[in-house]
This record gives sequence, C-alpha cells and structure tokens, in this order.
Amino acid sequence: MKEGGRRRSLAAWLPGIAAVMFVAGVAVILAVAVGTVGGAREAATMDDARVAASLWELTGGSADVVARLRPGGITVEAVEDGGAGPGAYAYETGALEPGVWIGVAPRQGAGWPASATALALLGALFMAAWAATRLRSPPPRRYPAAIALVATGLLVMVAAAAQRWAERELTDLSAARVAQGIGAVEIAIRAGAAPDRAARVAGLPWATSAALERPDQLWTMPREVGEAIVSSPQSGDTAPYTVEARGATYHGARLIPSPPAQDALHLVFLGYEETASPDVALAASAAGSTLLVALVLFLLPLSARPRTLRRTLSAWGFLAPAATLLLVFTFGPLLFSLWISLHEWHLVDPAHPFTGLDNYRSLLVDGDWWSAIRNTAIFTLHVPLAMAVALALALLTRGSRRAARWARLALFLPGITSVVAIAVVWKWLLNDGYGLVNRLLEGAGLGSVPWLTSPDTALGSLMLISVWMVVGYQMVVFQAGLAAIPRDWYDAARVDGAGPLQRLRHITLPGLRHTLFFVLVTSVIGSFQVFGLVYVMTEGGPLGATDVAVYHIYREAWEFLRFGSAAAMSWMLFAIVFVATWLHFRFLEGRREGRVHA
Amino acid sequence: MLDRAGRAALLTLACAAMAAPFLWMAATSLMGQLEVFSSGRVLPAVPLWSNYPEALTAQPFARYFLNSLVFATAVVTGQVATATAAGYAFARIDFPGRDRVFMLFLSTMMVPVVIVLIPRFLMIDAIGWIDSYQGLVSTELVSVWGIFLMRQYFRTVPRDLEDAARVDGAGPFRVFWSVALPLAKPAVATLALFAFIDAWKNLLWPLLVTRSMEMRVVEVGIAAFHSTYEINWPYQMAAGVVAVLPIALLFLFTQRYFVRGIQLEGIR
Amino acid sequence: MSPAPQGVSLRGVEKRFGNVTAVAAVDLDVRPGELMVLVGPSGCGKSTLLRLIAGLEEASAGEVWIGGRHVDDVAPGDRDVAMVFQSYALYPHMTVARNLGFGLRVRGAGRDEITARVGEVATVLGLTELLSRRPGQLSGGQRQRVALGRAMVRDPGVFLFDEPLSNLDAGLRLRTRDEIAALHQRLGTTMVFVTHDQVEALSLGQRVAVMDRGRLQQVGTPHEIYRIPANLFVAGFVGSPPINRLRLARDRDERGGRLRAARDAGASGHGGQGRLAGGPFRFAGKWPFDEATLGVRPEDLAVAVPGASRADFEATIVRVEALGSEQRLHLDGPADAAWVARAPPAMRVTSGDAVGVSVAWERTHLFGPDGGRLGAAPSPIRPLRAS
Repeated sequence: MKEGGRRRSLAAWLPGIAAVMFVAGVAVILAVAVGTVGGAREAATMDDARVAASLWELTGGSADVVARLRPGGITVEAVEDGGAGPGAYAYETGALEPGVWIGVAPRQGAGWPASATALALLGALFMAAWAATRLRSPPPRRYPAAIALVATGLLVMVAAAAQRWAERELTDLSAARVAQGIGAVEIAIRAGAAPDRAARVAGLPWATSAALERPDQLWTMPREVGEAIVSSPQSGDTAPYTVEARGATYHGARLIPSPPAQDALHLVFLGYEETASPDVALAASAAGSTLLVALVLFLLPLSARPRTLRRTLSAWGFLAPAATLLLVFTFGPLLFSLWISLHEWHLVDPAHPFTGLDNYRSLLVDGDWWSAIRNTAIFTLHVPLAMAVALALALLTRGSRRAARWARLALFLPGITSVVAIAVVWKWLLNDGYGLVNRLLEGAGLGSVPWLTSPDTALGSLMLISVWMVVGYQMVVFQAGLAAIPRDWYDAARVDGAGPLQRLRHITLPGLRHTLFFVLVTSVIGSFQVFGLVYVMTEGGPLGATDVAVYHIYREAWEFLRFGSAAAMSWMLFAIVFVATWLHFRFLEGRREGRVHA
Repeated sequence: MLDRAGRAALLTLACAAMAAPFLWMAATSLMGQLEVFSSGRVLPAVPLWSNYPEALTAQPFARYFLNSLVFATAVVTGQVATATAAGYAFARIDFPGRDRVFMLFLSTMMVPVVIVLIPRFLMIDAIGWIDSYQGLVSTELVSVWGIFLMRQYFRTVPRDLEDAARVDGAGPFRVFWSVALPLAKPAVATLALFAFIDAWKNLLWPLLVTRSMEMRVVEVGIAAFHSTYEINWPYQMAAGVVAVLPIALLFLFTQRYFVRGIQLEGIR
Repeated sequence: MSPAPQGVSLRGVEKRFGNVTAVAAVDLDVRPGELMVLVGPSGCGKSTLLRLIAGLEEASAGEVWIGGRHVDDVAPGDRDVAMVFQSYALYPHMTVARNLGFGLRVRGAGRDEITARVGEVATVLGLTELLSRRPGQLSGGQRQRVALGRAMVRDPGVFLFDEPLSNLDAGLRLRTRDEIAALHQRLGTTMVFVTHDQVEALSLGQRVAVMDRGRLQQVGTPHEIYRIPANLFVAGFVGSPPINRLRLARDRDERGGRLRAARDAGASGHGGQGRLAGGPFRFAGKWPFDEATLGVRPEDLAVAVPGASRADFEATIVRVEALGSEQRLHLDGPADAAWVARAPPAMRVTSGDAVGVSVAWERTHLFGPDGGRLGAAPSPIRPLRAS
C-alpha cells in the first residue's frame, strides 16, 4: 500500500492532537473542580460580609462584636475613599452608614490538587509515547481500543481525585461556616432576637429553640438529624455537629445560651451537602472529556482515509440535531431518572438524600403499585381481542377497494382523534342513569350495567373502549399485510382443494405472521402506557379498579410529589415492558425458527 | 365464507357501531341541559346551537386552539427537520458504527414515556421554561419513529440520482437538500401528518409543563373543562365536537398518507 | 471552448467489498483525448472501475490520477469528470433545463451563464423544445440525450459513460452510438465508456480494455483485441460467433509411452520437445506443459467441397444459419469436435453435406494451460485426414 506524504503526516499529527485533547479534558475537570470550590468560597465570603453587616446593624454599630465573630476574617473600618486593604473583600450594605466598610478577608485555599495534576501529566506522557510509536509503525488493530480504555480510566481517576480534593475543600468551608453561624446566632440571641430571626440575620437556613416537632415546615431538618444532635454528648457550649444521615452530611449546631436557663436549647440547622453522591458537574465534565477522547480515538484510525473521515463527519452533521435532542431529552433523562430513583426526592425539598434501593424495596411490598401493574396487565388483554376484530374486518373488506376505503374512513378516526374528547363521550355514553348504552339495554329489557361505577366492570369498560379506538389502525395494517400475500398462493391452495378455513389457517395467518407480530408488540407497548382514558374517565377508581401503571406514576409524582419513588416505578414498568417484548420476540421468533428447521 | 350481501351488512353494522359515539356526541351537543336527562330522547327536540358559543366562551378555547396549533406546528417542523436529516444519514451515508447507532436510536421506541417525564420536567423547570412554548415544544422535537420512516423511504430512492449529483459537484448537504429531500416528499407528508396528530393528542406532557390557563392546549383544556362542567353534558359534547372536527377533516383529506405511513412502518 | 482533455491513470487499483474483490490490481492509462471502452461480462468489475474513476467508490488500494493529479482524496465533483448513468439518473423533480444546469448551479455559476450554457448544449443535442419538461414526460431516447447534455454542460476533462445505451431499443442504440462517436470527434475530450456489448466496444473504442473477474485481461486497439487476443478469455469474449476452441493434450508417441523430459528442462520435469494433439492435429514444438487450447475464428476456416482443394480435415455440416450477408456452418469434425465456420452467402451447402475444411494457420492462436496466448499455431506436423 502506498500512502501520500500528506496523508502520512496528517496521521502522525493526530495522536498528538489526541494527547492535547486528553490534557484539555483533564484541565476541564480540574477547572470545574477548582471553579466549584472557588464559587463556594466566594459565596462564603459574601455570606460572611452579609452577616457581618446584619450584625453591625443589629448590635448598633459595634465593631468589636462583629470583629469577634471571626477574628482575622472580618475587619470593620471606616474608610472614606471606599477602598479596603489589599486582599480584602469590601461589602457595602444600604443599611450601613455611608463610609463604613466591612472588610472580609478571603479564605486561603489549598491550591491545586497535586495528585490529579500528576495523573494528568502521566496520561499526557503516555499518549505522547503512543503517538511516538505510531509514527514508526502502524499499530495492531486492537490498539486504539486499548488506548481508549486506558485514557478513559485515567480520566476517571483524575476526575475522582479532583472530586475528593473539591469535597475536602468544601467540607472545610462548611465547618468554617458552622462556626461562623453559631457565633452569629449566639450574638443575635444575646441581642434579644428570636432564634429564627437570628437565623435569618445570619443567613442560615434554619434555627429553632428546642422545637423539633414542626414537620410542616418547608425547610425541615430531618428528624434523625435533629435527634442525633440532641442526643450526642455535649462537647462544649457551642459545638458544631456533622451528622451523616441518609447519604448526606448535615451540619448543625446546638448551643446553650451563656446564662444556661430554662428549656432554651437552641438548635441551628446550617444546611447539608450530599457527600455520598458525586458532584454532578464533575461527573458531567468527566463524561464529556471521556467522550471527547473516545471521539478522537474513534476518528484517529479514520484519519488515514480522509474521505471516510469526511463522510463520517458529514454523517454526524446530519445526525447532530436528532442525536443531541435524544441525548438531552431521552438518554440523559433515562440515566437521570435512574439516579432519581435511588434518592428520596421531593419536588419542593432541595435535599435529595441518597437511599440506594429503598424505593424499589418498598415498591416490592406496595400493594397499590402491584394492583396498578395487575390492572395494566389485564388491560393489555384487550390487544388480542382488538386484533381478532381488526383481522376479521380486514378480511371482510378484502377484495373490494371501495369497502376498504369506507371502512378506513369510519374506523380510523377514533384512533387518531382527541383522546380526551373520546373519553368524555364515552363517559356520557356509559353514564349509569342517562347514558345511551344503558338506555338501550333498559329498552331491551336487560337492565342497566354500572359500566364505570362498579369496580367489577370499570376496567372491562375501558378495555372495550380501547378496542374501539385501536381497531381501525390495526385493520389498516392488516389490510397492508394481506395485500402483500401473493394471490397465486390462494389459487394454488384452491386448486389443491383447500377450503376457506384451511386457506385462512395455512396461508393467510402464516403470511401475516410478521404483521401480526408487529401489531402485537407495538400495541402491547402502547397499552402499557395508557393514561388519557383513565385520567379523564375514572381517575383510577372506583376503588382503584382502573388504577393503571402510568396513572399511578403520574399521581405519585405530581400529586404526592414523590419523584424518587415515581422514578423507581417507571423503571420497574420499563423492565416489565422490556421483558414482555423480549419474551414475545423469543417466543414467536423461536417458534418460527423451529418451524423452518422442522 | 360469506356472500357479498352478508359481508356488506356486517361491514355496515361494524362501521355504524364505530361511528355511533361520534353521532351521539353531535346529537347531545345540541340538546338542552336538562333535555339530556329525559329518558327516551336521542335526538334534540330543537337543535340548540347556542350551546356552542356558550361552551366555547366559558373557557378560552380560542386560546387553547392557538396553543395546540403552535405546539403541533413547532413539533412538526422540528420532527421533519431532525428525522429527514438523521434518516438520510442512516440510509445513505456509510460511516463506521452506523448500524449500531441506528439500533441504539431504535431501542428508545421501547422506552415508556413516563420514565423520562420526571427528568424532563426537572430539566425544563431548571431552565425556567415551565408554562412556556419552549418548555412545551423542546422535548418533542425528535421522533425515532420518524427517523425510521425516513430511513426506510430514503433507501427506496435510486442511488444513481445522488451519485449523479455528487459527480455534478454537490456536497453531502446539497445532495440531501436538492435531490434526496425533494424525492422524499410523500414520506415527509406522512411524517408531518403523524407528528401533527401525535402532538395534537398529547395530553400528559402539556398537562405537566403548563400551569396557567393561557398556556393550555386543547386536550388539557377539554380535560379541565370536563372537570369544571361535570354534569353539563351538552357543553362538554360541544367542546368535544370542536376538538374532534379538525382532526376528522384533516384525516378526510389526507387519508392516503396515513395508509402509506402505516404500510411503510410495517415493512422491514 | 473545451478545456484541455485530461488523461486518467489507475495504478494498482483494488476495490474490495467485504471479502469480495470487485477490482483487483488494475493498472490502466487512458490517454488525453482518447475514447477508451471498458468491456466485460456482467459482474466483471468494469462499472466499479468507472465509479472508482468518478470517485463514487473509494479504492481499497492503489491510486487514481486524473490529469496528472492524484485524486483519491478528491470528491467526485472536484475531479473534473462528468458521468452518464445507465439509468440516466435525471432528477425527476427538476425540469430538463434545471437538470442540465444543476452542475453549474452547484458550482455557483451566475444565472445568465447557466442559461447561456444550457441553451448552447440544448441546441447541439436538439433539446431546445424540451427544456421546460420534466424527465417523466420524455421518451427513453430524449432522456438519454438529457443525460448526455448534463455531462456536456460542464465541459469536463473526462466523460464517463456507464452503459448508457443499454436501455435503448436496438435501432436507437446504433444511432446514439454513432452520435457519441461523433461527439467524441468534435469535442476531443477523454471518454471512458463501459459496456458489456463487445460489438459496441469494438465499434466505438479507440482502445478497448477487456475485464474479467475484476482483472484487466487486455488493453489494445479493437484490431489488436480481435486479432491478437492476449488470452483465451479475450479470444472467447470478443467475436460473434465465438472463436472455435480445440483442446490439445500431450501426445503419446508411437510406442504409447510418454515423451521423456528433455535434459535441459526446468525443475518441474516437463518441457523439452514434444507434441500436442487434439482432433485431427498434431503440433511439434517446445511445450513445457501437458495441455493447450487451439483457437480458430470462424472466418479463418475455409470450407470447400471435399477434394476440391487441399483441406486440413473433413467434416459434416450439421446445421446452416443463413443470415443473408453470410452463412454460418455448424460442422462436426473428426474426434467429435464441433466447429463453426463462416461461408459466403452464395455457397450452396445444406446440412448433411461432407466438406473439406482448411485452416488459415497464420491467424490461429495457441493458448497455454493458463489461458495466455503463445502465438499463432505452427502448421500441424501431421494433419490427419478424415478417412
């Protein structure tokens, strides 16, 4: 094989570019880590300043008190020209007299994480070495895959190291905030403020005096955290506590006012951080850079064939809109939903403690959920019924183009039109006293049926309506399938003396097998997701008789706001749909294979 | 099995049974509020046309329709754009990993929508798009079914045409835009139709992301109307007729595209 | 008007589709201004080769040069080639005028320039009245012209034709063939023309490249291809009715034993003086092999009344095809060998006649066991007369 000189040089450069991109990926991870810490540090400094200003106001302008809060950290000085000393953070609040400045010294950082930098250098070195070997001889075929693995591993290690460093930094910061918060609340209480007012002054989420029994509050300290703080041995008057509970680290404090009087046990809740879960930004950036490296490694072998490379790039250009949307709104949410399902996740509570498989575990014994699944499964039984009707209709309209067209016109509409409107109509049709159906039945002397109001019949009614809705669509599919069966086969069968039933059994059904399978799978998947009918007609009732899976999930998430458990339900539903589809495939395809081989 | 007359009778019966609810809906929509409860009445004594303006102004249905129209149009535009481009790449451009990527895309058709609703909601909420057109539309802009449909169709377009365009000097996008896409018009029409109707019928997602009355789409609007005017059946039926009518008309004039879409979907 | 014609050269070009090798190690030079025809049976790789030149396929190995430029990394549109497809590949949604102008439009030519150029080409091809029609409204011949016009509009350095005549009926095909030849003369552009029809190839090509199973079998003028076929395949593929073949095997000597290998023979043990025999003939020579094939074109067999002149062998006429301009005689010769010979239309023969057949030895071909041509067969040392 001959290669143009231009191509060779291009191929030689690309490993170098890959190395650079790898380093860039590492740099992104580190930058995000440093940025997170830097942002937190900035926010903490701002908080300090704000608290200092509030205290200044509260204590009537006593610089001493404020400065005592954090010796070395905060200085209050009256400066006319507005400038603070070097390295000081100046904060001005409208409440302060003009010309009074509070300087807050920024905290010292620990600098860059050394281990991550070392790893990054190692990785870059490795990639460069690889580039060097590639220059000399073309690599064996599996080489790029191995490099991709190693690079991915290195990136993950860098990300992990960066994350550990960032976590330690953040923990340091929050310990400092705990101390500062306790001081602030103490001063505020001493100045005569109520604990919650003091907390607000100190810019803290919550503070209370000995009252843990207020679960109605939006910002609640989890009970076990409060209890842990109260019951823990006292280590000094104002001790910060960090309590590990439910996958998060809670920072709290208990403080006893200096004249230890009455029942005034003050609890301060200073917030929490989720230590058990990796920082989302970090994970995302690590994934991003890994993707980047993988992309480079994927394009690398193509670089020797510029036209293939160009084609690949243009293909991804075409795919980009769809792929991006799918990534953001389908694949991403899939993982996100899995993630949510591992947490206790409420819409209004910013705390999302990690609970592992607890959601799934409790679902396993949740009778309501299983009854919803059972209802869904029973509901799905309308599919074979609808298919039988649709097939019969398709056979009836066969051979007459006009009949087929008219049947389509009449039958197709229910399947494509507004589900809500249909549900409302049927609700009226099946109305106990005045609905048309019961009136007809009564007129025929058959007595009325409590279609939607009895737990025994409600689900069955929904199934019938569903048959009515899907039958037109299925009929059209069957018509198309029937048209694809060669006429000759029937003629041949007729010549062989097969009757109509035998022709149906031996020619029509086998010829339609693909179509039947297709309709079955898509309809079952669809029927597992029924929502509109239930939402409008029965709202899951009566007595939960029509509570199907998707409606159950909807209520769990948007009525009870339990996102974590709703996500777990969705995943279980997905698993069930997946297994059902897979079994269909196995069963039907397997049987077909068997028949062919027999 | 059956003679001609028997078949015709059976078919007519089936069609009548299928169409009956719609007729009943139309009939009820013209009855008086109490008339519907008087037994023995199937047709209105006197058509009460005023039900329509009254029902439609009881809630801002015009606004609902506008919202549905905006929503469906945006979804159609987005899905046609993304699906034609992606379908073309899968059908015609030979790139490493193509079939695996395609299978990955296809596999999402098995995923129940509920599973992604919560994350989508949280994401839209985080951007601050709840109760806005952006929030309503952005998640619905790609349809894997559409990609599949377009891929199937593009594979039937003669390859020579694209080769000729390449020799004529057209780049990949030009080939797609000037040659492949114009030839795929029938499939685009089918895709657009299905996308429009799916968007029009979509209840769950608009229910979640819209809050104010001004942002409701027709489906959500009728559902809300239903729970507000629980026992006023004529009003509800009038609203229902108005919701069904556009789709029914659309279907009447575009029947063949539906059928083609279903046929394309069925062949593998 | 036309730019300088471009040469095309293929160097060791290979194309594999998975495990299938469609084109194997082809070296081919098309001279600037030449009309080169690629011919071969279907599936021989000739169309793939053309698509490789156009850039519609990418070579698995080897290089393609057009006009002294290495074009493997160049997109089809930038290769200065134009192509006429077997299906014509006219854009069905564009009018004839837009079809013709598409290449110019893509290249960003101005509207006036496009109109002028399209008008020019339409005049040459007689398409002026059809400019506003769509391809669906044209006859096969008209479509073919539009396809040709689309290629001409751009003044390419190289024209590529992929069986452009195969969808036309016989009469139109002949006429179009002449038109293409005339077009080539007028434009003087390099043309590469693919066909499976050997008559078309010989009549049209200045040079002809014969392909089989992905390999180039022979490149030469039509005369060379016909008169000096490089191998058995070329000899058999070109010419109608096909060349007569006679299998020859190493002859046993009078005593019935094999000839011993000569002392100076190669390590294989074969070679040296020997005789090959088949049908009525025996040939002496240096044969380093046990088998060969004799090829004789039908027109190189002269048929005469037995005994009228010196004949190489005698045969019986099995069937006579009277084609008007000539007669084809199917003969049954000695040792059950079947022959086809051409005879003048006036000759009075009927099936069942016994005739004497003489061979124009200087125009025969002897092919070695690998199919390669060894040269004209020497006159047989012992022609056997039919007894």
